[in-house]
Amino acid sequence: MNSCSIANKHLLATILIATLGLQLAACGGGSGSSGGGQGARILHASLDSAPFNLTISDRPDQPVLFARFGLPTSYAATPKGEHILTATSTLGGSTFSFAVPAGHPTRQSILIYGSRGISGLKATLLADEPGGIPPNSSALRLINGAEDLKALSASAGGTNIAQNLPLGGASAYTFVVSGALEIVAQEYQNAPFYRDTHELLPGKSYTVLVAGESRLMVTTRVLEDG
Amino acid sequence: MTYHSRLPLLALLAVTMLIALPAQADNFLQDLNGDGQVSFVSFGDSITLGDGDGIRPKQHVSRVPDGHSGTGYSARLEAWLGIPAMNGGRGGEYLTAGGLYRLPGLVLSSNADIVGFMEGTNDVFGHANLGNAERDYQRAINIILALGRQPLMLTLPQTCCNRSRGRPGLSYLSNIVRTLAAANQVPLADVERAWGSVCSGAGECDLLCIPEGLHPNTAGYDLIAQTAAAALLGIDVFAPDGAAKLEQALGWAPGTVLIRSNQTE
Repeated sequence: MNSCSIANKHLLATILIATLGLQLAACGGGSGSSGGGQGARILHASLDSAPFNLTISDRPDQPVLFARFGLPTSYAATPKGEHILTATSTLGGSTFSFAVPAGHPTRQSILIYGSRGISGLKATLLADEPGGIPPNSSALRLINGAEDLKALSASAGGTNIAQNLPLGGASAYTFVVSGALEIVAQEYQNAPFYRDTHELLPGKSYTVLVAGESRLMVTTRVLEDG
Repeated sequence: MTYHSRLPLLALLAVTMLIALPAQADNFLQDLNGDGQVSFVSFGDSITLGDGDGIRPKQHVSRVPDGHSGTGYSARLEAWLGIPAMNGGRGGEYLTAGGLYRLPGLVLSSNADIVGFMEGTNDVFGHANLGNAERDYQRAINIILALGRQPLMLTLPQTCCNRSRGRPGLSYLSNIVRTLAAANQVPLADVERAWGSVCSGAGECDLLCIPEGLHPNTAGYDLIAQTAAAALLGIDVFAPDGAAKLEQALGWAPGTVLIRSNQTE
């Protein structure tokens, strides 16, 4: 179960509301699918930003992904050799390009985070590769894309997967025993703003993406990485 | 308007048949939350709430009396489209100063599949900083989508007479809404354009309480609702045959739709 935390300046406390359906598989938003091969996706975490299109240098006039805030996209197939990934706002004005060398990671994510009106809009290219996952284990990491959440921590089944992660940060993958695990996310030592149980499959890797603006709305989603 | 007395069963049958047809790409009446029905909630200010509704065209109104609210456009959508529609308007609310903070809670407290968003008029007349408006409209779209609902963005009805000074600001905001609806690929009910097809310029307008010039009257709310209904049904009401298509879809007599085609705003 994914959730949205609502921060309303008229309330004394943040309200945790869990309403969204299970979204373990990255889905929707993309015209391409890597089908188990190489690929790139966009993780759009900026609440005040328009959708982004992803283009690849081998076909720069054909967007391969359309990414909305907080909603996962599939992976778009990318060439094996060197290429350039470009994420462009559908409103124009914001473009992020990344030169990807030959021998690059099998799967990558462009994280778009921050806020045009607060800290500025930023992007970073992340490798979605946990390395060899031990038997009967899953790999899990935390990404902090939420404006004003300065130090995020998360655990899965009681195992810490990240501590004090700043805005724009992605933790290293942590291996956990597969199964139904409670995933908890919090800022500093504050009460958790996210707590839910997810079925993590053996051999699979996952990202806990926290996105939005703490003063308005934060979404937390558990995404399968490939 | 006589169509308010149309047999509701006929309208419901017409809409049911429309919904039961092979899915049209642009028909936004979708049960997104899987609760077995399509429902709607409107978000906005007093113009969403329905202030001025019930006042007839040409009835002299220098100020809409406090508490004089009709049902607004959302109730008309409920009657015409046969879908539950909740009115989430709040009088006097500003988009850029607090309105946005109410949106997540309103959406989550409803089971609506579609959220109609129309706000900004108070920001214009209250001299708010409109420089933040684009980011706030974008936030609204993102909030609604992230919560699993379909946004319907509405541009703003124009003013006249005692409030004609707000016209440039309202157009500015409406242009932002249009641009964002396109960039986000979400449906748009272009109320300002529909308004301009009936009323041009800052002079008297039969869609507004006169000479107050800010709040729509009964005809104005009819037009807002017609524009929204067309958008939800995927009908281009500004096309030469758009009004006829809307009348046909809802079982109305020819000439019921107020919007005139091939008009520029």
